[in-house]
Amino acid sequence: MKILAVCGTGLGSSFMVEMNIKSILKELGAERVEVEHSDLGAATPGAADIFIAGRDIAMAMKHLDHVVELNNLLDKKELKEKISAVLKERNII
Amino acid sequence: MLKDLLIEATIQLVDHVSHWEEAIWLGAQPLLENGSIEASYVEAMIANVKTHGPYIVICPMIAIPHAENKVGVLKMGMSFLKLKEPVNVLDDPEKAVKILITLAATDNKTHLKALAQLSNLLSDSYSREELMACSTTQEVLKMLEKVSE
Repeated sequence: MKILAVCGTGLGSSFMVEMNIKSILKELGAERVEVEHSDLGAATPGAADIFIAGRDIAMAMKHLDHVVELNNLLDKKELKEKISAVLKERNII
Repeated sequence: MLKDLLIEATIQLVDHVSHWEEAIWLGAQPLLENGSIEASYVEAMIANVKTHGPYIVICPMIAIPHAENKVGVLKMGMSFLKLKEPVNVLDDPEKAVKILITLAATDNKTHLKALAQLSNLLSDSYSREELMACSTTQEVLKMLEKVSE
């Protein structure tokens, strides 16, 4: 299972989100889930099982399945709720 | 390290700007002056917002202007601008910002350590509020010192 955090350039916010996802996976005991970050261009079908991005970027990712949209990129509470839901759906936690 | 990049010369506190593009230019000014970037990078940051939307606003009131490092980045840099009055990115009232942290990366790896520290700082709502309440450069530096420990 792989999660990809995506932003416009793959340099700034996607990395911040990746770090927060990693710390949340640790809290949830799901460290075996892979996490990476990339720019929009590298977010292609098959690049990951789940894509995570802010609302503006997610709008440009309509061609992908399993996009999780964040209202506030740095809100760990929102991120944890959404990640937990996805992992439960897939029986990972 | 964050505290090596955000120093007295790269921190600005300003009352008011008239437009979000002006805020991006002003925020990048210390990096233009210290030779981290060229004007073409500032233009690329503004174009980036126009293309991808206001996603550089990473949480309420805080933006991290940046662009791809292909144009106009000479060395890694970061600068901090705090506005007393918020400015609306892309004129969107939902994207009001008071803090702009401009990023210039030379490759995708070198800036990660500093960005990780910045991310820790900004992911904590208590320190976000504290940062928002800073009214002098010294106060900002003190906060950065804390996260660099």
